[in-house]
Parts: sequence; structure tokens; C-alpha cells
Amino acid sequence: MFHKLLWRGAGRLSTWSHWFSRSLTPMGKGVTTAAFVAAVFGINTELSLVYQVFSLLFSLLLFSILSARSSRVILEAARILPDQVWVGQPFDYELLLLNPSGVPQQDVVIFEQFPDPRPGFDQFMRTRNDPEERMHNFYDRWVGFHRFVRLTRKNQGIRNEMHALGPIAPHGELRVRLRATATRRGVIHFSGLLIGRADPLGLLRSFHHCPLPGRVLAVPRCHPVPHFEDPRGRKHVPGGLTLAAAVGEHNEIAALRSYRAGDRLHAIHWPGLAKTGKLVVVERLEEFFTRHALVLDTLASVSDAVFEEAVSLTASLALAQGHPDTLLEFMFVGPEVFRCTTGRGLGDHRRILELLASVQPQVAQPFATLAQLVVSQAPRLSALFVVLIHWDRDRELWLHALRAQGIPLRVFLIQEQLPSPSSMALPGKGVPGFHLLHPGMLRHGFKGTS
Amino acid sequence: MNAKYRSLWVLGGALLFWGWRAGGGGWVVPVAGWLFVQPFSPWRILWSDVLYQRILGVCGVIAVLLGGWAWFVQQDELFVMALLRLSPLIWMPMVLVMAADSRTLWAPDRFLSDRNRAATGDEVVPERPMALWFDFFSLATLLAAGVVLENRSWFFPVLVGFMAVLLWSWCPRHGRRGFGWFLFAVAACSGYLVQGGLSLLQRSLMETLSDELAEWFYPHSVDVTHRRTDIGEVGRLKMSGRILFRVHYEGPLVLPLLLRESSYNIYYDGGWSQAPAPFVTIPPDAPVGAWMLGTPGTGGADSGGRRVTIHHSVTRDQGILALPFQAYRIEGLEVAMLEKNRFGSVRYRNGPPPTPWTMIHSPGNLDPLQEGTAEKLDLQIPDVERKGIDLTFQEAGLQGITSSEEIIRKWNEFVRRRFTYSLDLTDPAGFDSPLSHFLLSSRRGHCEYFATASVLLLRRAGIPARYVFGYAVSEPDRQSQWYRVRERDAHAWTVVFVNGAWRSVDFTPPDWRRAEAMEAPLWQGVVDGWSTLSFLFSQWSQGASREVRLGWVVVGFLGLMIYVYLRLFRQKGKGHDHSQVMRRDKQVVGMVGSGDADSPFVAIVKHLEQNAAPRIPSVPLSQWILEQQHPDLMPLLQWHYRWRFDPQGLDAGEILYFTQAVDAWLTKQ
Repeated sequence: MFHKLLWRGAGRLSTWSHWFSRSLTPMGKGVTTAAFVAAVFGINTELSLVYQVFSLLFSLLLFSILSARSSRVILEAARILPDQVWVGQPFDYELLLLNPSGVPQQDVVIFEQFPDPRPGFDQFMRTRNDPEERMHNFYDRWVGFHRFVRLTRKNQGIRNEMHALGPIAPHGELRVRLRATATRRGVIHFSGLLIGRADPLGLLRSFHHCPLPGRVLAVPRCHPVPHFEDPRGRKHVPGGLTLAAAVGEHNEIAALRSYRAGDRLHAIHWPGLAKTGKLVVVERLEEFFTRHALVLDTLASVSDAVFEEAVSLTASLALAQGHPDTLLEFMFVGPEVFRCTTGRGLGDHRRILELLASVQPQVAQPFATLAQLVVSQAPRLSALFVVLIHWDRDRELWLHALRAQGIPLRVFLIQEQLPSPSSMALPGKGVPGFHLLHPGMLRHGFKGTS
Repeated sequence: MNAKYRSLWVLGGALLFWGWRAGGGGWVVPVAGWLFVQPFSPWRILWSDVLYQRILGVCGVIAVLLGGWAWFVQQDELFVMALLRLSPLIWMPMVLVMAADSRTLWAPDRFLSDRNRAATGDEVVPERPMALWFDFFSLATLLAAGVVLENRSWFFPVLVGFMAVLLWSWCPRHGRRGFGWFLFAVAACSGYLVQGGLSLLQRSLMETLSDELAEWFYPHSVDVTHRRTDIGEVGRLKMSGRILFRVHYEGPLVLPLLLRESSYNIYYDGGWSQAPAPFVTIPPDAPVGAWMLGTPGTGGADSGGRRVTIHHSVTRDQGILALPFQAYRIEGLEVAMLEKNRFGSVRYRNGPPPTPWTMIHSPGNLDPLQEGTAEKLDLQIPDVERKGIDLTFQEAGLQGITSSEEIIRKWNEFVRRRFTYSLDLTDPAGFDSPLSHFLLSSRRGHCEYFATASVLLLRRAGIPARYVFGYAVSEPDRQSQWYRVRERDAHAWTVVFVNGAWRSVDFTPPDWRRAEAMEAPLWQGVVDGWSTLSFLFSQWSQGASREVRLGWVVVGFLGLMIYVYLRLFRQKGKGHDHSQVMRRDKQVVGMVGSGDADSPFVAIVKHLEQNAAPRIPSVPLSQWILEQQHPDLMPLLQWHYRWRFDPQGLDAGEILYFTQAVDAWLTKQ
């Protein structure tokens, strides 16, 4: 009950703050703040003349509000967005604005509008024990306003500023190049455009809302990582490419020849026998692939920073290890087990990026789900890249089991804080191919401790 | 004209206006001059963020000093008004620095250290034109100028003029500027009407609101004609231990000394009022600050004058003076106006009284302030109280006694025998009034019960009586040799008209002071200690010669300057990313970086030098490291070079990584 009240209060505060930041011009903000201070300090008119400051500023704001509607400007707009953008990388897109009126328009500003990003009560309560909350004091955690703000920013997922337009001629059009930055992975929706202009006193903006839906997919931030050489080279894949994708039968016929004693019964070409009356054997092409697997551990409750770093590293590895002649099998556990094979014409790495754009931590699923999936595929793999977000006994045993199967492993563990170098509890200490990273390290170049 | 310089000139004008109103015109002139000459200045400086961070620290120190000073002077909640009045002094250093900055855009995130900036994440604080920030400072200056009450008629027109200039740069230019100016003129007229309306509204509110509400809204308003009591309240009465004033008494003093604020003669429903009694102005006497309240009373045994000195902890622009009975002269009270009425109330107006001030009274003589004889209202008993009064009158055995002195003595004895002092107030359910409940049932109450009941009972006996509100002086302060008077020393008692004169009688059991003192919180001693210290300092500063005081001001100023110097140029505080600071300093005119002295890599160099051959300065670091057979240090050397030579420097994450890598290498060795 009380938390609902806090959530509502935060929502209301957020609405006011949103209004304050958009509707008031910079000078309007100054005048409003000064009027508020004057109202507080000038409550006793016999004590000071501050109430006169309040009176004047209040009147200015009042007449600004009254006259703001007369400044409203209506434009028609169209937006051209890219399909995919990278998180954290500013991207450009175009806006086409048309002035349908017969008068020139100037001093116009535009704001992009997004669906209401404020968190619902469920999300607000669910995230109370997020690892990010640990850095705040008890009172802040209890009130949760910072959490409300964090979730609002996260839900919106994009940062873009007000843009001031140049003059638009009567019935003329203006092509504007805007810049925005996606701040989270996933689909980011645009809902419309706010076209505004300040009132004649220059304190308050009046807006015309132009519905203009749009969407863009933000894929994880990628960083340069080295190409890790596979020590074991290629590996025989019985069944060839089709089986590599785990569907259908192998059908790559190399040649037909007469039966020789000892040939497998399965190899006999029965249609040939029917035609020629002789036993004919099919020689099939045996394929050898370099087959890598990229495994993302999503099965732990960690901070956003750790998880995003893990996703980012996975995306970076997918790009770095990808090769047209290499099969890359990407595995993770989402609401269900996902396995996706790319390379050799089975699709490019954009598919992995798209999957990574929407991957989320799964706290409810046990780690065994992922472990079994990987172990079942292990015999066919040339090398395995594992991105872990948590270190425990289960993961340690799982890695030992994989290593026992003779699979070259590259393990990347993302941890909130790096343990001190002298720490005895350093996870994976002394294990070759083990990299310990912490959030923020990747963007300075891959320098994981190993 | 360049918008920045226009804004600087407006700010200079606003500062001069503020200086003129706040009384600091002389020394504001150089500051305003600095702002005025900026367009013609040959210097253009690109200040570093570090300098801004340090200047912010200086502003913080000035704010704390001014806040302390304002609290010391004002000693009540209105110290914030004093602080607002002086607020331009707080941010003046910032303005002086910003004025000389060559930037045209500026954002407040320059105040953030790199560490704090990293903590804010990806949020970018947008940069705004420098002119806008100066206009904000102008608005703040005008607010500060508004705190001063003098030159009331000039303020609004000048304010309108400044606002017109401030809005000029920021109003849109879409061809409707004429309409904008029309709107501004209408808004200015409306503002004028609104301010007049607000002033009228307050006056009418003060007349209609209850005392408590008016006092809460307008703490300076004083309504002497009416006083509500806590009679009828239920629960434990909370008393504040805040020291209101201190009293020094010349000669031997019989405790408690009662200081009267006002007396009342009409009781109704838990409140006391005065019959209409206009205030008359007391003509000032010589020398300045002296006032003759009346002729020294006669008829008592002691006709000599005793001096009572009052030192206020809290001073207000208008209020009622607490005076002892038989006070006839005031000295050292330099206020604009002093008034009195026939109920013994003395009111000052238009400005707080200087402190301390002295009054002279002649104990034992007649009171020159409680004028006139008894009137019909001094014998009036409300009907609702009559039953309780009658029953108590009979129980006390006062029926048939004709001597006033005898009635007073007998009632006093009855009260001591049958009543007790208590701050716990019980529910008077089942009785006509809380006072009847007190008289007939509970017989427990505080001074307001005793004084009110006594007044009404003596009136029942035919003795004219009034209710008096004031303070009881009884708590000596051994450190200062003065008496402390706290809020909880507020007291009510009775004056009776006997033998042709008004005399003071207190029927409250004498243990009331001990009972109220027990309400003191545990930390009272600490608060009192601070209060005594500031009081002693105040006494010293008033007693010290001008030269001594000036000397202390100079010492304080020098101390502040040393602090500012250390803060600006010598700071190496804990938790400060000084290394990052240095990266930035290198880009700054006038700021000198400290080379590579702060690079974590220096620790590795020192380690190698201690354990191997020292490096010859002419040998490059990379070559020397290879000679030491440490090729593994080459990546760290690259970081070191970035630290030293990269104009962008390293950010917080890189520094963390670099430092940890160096630590890891050293640990391995």
C-alpha cells in the first residue's frame, strides 16, 4: 500500500519533471525557479520585498501560459529510421518536415516522443533487490525514487535531445538529420513528434503532437576482441552440412561405383540396382568443418552492468570468431533453450545479434539446463567459447567435464569487482584460457586477466 | 552586442542595485567594474574544470561562514532571510571566474570530478549559453535585493526594468516581438496589482486568523490584545527549552523575578483578551535609546531604582517587551517607535531592538504602567464558570470575609493545600468547562489554570483582578552571571486591585519551575553550552575595542585567503582523482601539470631501480625496460605513455584498469 503510494508519487514527480524540462525554455526554468524561491521567502509581505519579485515573475509566467497557445505551430512529418543500431553508438536518422501553412515558421523546436517509459508497479517492486540497489543506502532503497528514474531511462532505451529547426518557408519542406543514441538492447519504439514553439515572452513552449510511430532494433555494443586460434583445427561432421544444422539427411553424393566386398549395406544404391541389375554403391562426401560454439550464461541474478558486459562480449566474440567457412553455434537459455547455427550459408551473424538484442537473465531456470545442452553437443565441437556471469561449484564442475572431453575451452567470467591479484579465491586461477573481466573493461580493449 | 557581454552588464547593474539596497555599494563597485570591462579585456582564459570544482568549494566555504554569521546575528528561523540577502557574496567568486572564461557554452557538470562524472553514467548535461547562466545570477541578485525593506517604492519599477532587459535576449523572434512587449507590459501591471493584493491579503489574514495560525504564518506579527491558553488541552504539555533572552539584575534579587508582557481582563472559552485599549506613543527621552515609561512609583518601602538588563537571543522587527513591575525607564533601546497601553503592554515597532538594553524599576513601589482603576470588566465572571467558582469559593471558606488581604491569603493557603502543579492535562468530560473540572475534580494543572481560576475567584469575592502573561526569571547561568529565560519559563499570574493600586500576586505552587525543568531533554546542556558561548562572544565583541575587532576580522580574512589558496593550488585531498585532474590541467592556461609523477607506472620504475641498475635519464624508458629483461612491461608502458601524452587522458575505467594491472605486476615480483 505504502509502496504503491511511493510509486505513484514518483510517477507524478516524473511527470512534472518531464513537463518542466520540455515545456519551459531555459529562461522559463530560471524564472519559474526564482518565482518558487520568491514564494517561499516572500510569504510575509511585511518582512521583505521578495513578494514583489514573486508577483512580477508569477504574472510573467501566467501571461506566458495564456499566450502560449497562440504560438503553436503545426507541421507534417515523416521519419526514416535505420533497421539496426548499436547500443551506445550515436546513430543518425532523417526527418522530413512539411509546412502546410502559408506563413513561414521559425523558432520551432522538436522533441521525439516515446511510449510512456515509466515502470509499472510490478516492475518497480520486482527490481527492489536488484544488485544495482546495493550501492544505495537503506532509505533510498526503501523510497526507490532513484530506481524509478533508472527504470524509466532503461525502458525508454534511447537518448535524444531537443532539436531546434531552421526557418521553414510557406508550403516548404525541411529535411533534418537527427542524432540519437540507444542506451539499451532490444526494440526501441518511437511514438510521435512534439513540435513546439515558445510564447512571445520566451518562457513557455506550446506543443503540437504529431503521431509518428517507428521502431529500431538496438543490438549489443561490440568491442574489438582478438581472434582466438583453434588448436585442433577442423573436425569431421558426419552427415555434412545439413546435419550440421541438425535437420534432414545427408545427400552430398561424391560418386557411384560397383559393390566391393565389405561395403556397408546402407551404402547400396537401390535405384541403381533396379536399373542395372548390379549392386551399385554410393560414395558420399565426408565433410570436415571448424565448428565453434558460443555459450552465454544467462542463469544468474547479476547487475545490469555485468549482464550487459556479458552480452556485449558474446556479440563481440560472435563477430570476431565468425568466418564464412566456420560454423558458429550459439547457445543460451532464455524462456526456453535456444540454439542457432550460423556460417557456411546457414545465415550470418546478424541473427546472433538479433537474438542477443533481446536476451534477458533467467533466474528461474537451473544451470543444468544449459550444461546438458552443451555437453550433448560437445563431441561435434572444435572449440567452445563460454561467457559466464557467475562463478560457482556447478559451473566449475561443468567446465571440468567439458575439458575432460578434450574440447578446447575459452572461458570468460564477468564479475562486478575484480578480486585483488593476491586473492587466493581467484576463480579459474591457473586455468589456461580463463579470462576474468569486469564491467567497463571491454571497451578499453580486451585485456582480461587470465 | 554579444549576448554574453550584454548579460554581464545586466549582472553588473543588478549587483550595483543589490549593493545599494543591501548597504554594500562601495565594494560591489569593483566587482561590477570587472564585469563591465570584460568586453574590452585583452585576456581570454580557458579555465579548467578543476578550477571550477575548487571555486565551488570556496563558494561552499563562504556559504557556511555566512550561514554561521547569519545564524549568530539572527538566532531564529529568519536567519535564512539574512542568508538570502547576502547570497550574492556566496556565488560572487564563481561569477568573477566565469566572466573571464572564454567559453560561450557552459554546463554545471564542470563541477563534477571525473569520478562523480563516471558515476552519473551516460547522462550528458547539456551545455547552455554562458549568457544564460549570467542571467540566472542576475535573477538571484534581484531576489537578494528584494530581502531589503528600504526604498520600497523604487524596487518594483527597477525590477521590471531588469526583467525587461533579461527577457529581451531570450524571447523568440518569429515576427511577434511587438505582441511580446505588449504582453510584458500587461504582465508588469498585473504583477504590480498582485503585489498590492498580496500585501492587503496578509493584513486581512492577520486580522482574521487565530493567533497561533497568524504566528505560524507570520512569525513577526504580534497581537497583544488576545492570548489563547492551553486550558482544555488534553495530554502532556510540551515545553521548549529554547533560551529567549538573558537577564542581568543589579543588586540582590528575590527569585523569581516576574517580567510582564501584558495583562488581560476578559476571559472567554480558554482565552484572555484585553478590553479596547489603544496604544499611545511613548516620547523618546535623552540620551538616544532612553524612554520614560512613567513617573517612578511611590508608596512602597523601597523607592530606589534597580537596573535590569536584557540580552535577547531572538530579535524581531516588532514585539512586546517583557518588563518587571514598577519599571519606569528604559535605556539603550534604540528602536524607531515605542508604544504602551493601559494594560501594561509596551510594544516596539519598525526594527529589532539592539541587544542588550536596560530598564530601571523600583521594586516595592506602585506600577506606573498598569494605569487606571478597576473597571466593571475586572469583576466579570463568565456564566459557564460561575458554578465551579461558587462551589470552590464556599469550600475555601471565603464567604463572609471582607478584607481583601485576608481573602488573598486564605485563597493562597487553600491552593497550596488542595491543588498540585502538573503538566499532565486530563479530559474534562462531564464538567461545564475545563476550569470547573480543575476546580472541582482534578485540582491539577499548570500556571494558566491557577492564574485564571484565581482571577475569577477573587472577582467572585469582589476584588478586581486581571490575568497577566510574562516570564519568570529564576535560572542563573554560572558561567555568564546572567539569568537564562527559556520558552518554558513563560508564566501566567494575577494582578489584583487592592487599596487603590494594582498589585501582583502569583498563586501557582512554587514547585512549578522544578516540574518544568524536569522536562528538559538530555542534550539541553550541550545546547545551553553553545548558547552561553555565543552569548559570551557577543558580550566580548560588544565590549572589545574597534581595533581589536578589526584585528580579528583581518585574521579571519587571512585565514580564508590561506584556505582559498590551498584549495585552489595545493589540494591533494583524499578520494580526489588528482591524476585525472592533472591530465586536464595540461590543457589549461595558467595551470601547470605535474608531469608523470602521479602515474602508477612510476612505482614499477622505482621498484626496478631499487632491484637493478638505475636508469640513466638519457635512456628511453622502453629501452631501459627491455634491458632489464621485462618485455612483459611493454603493454603497461603504453598505458603510461597514454597517461603522460594523450591529450584526452585516461578515463576512470582506464585508470582503474591501469592501476590494478600495475599492482598485479608488483605483487607478482
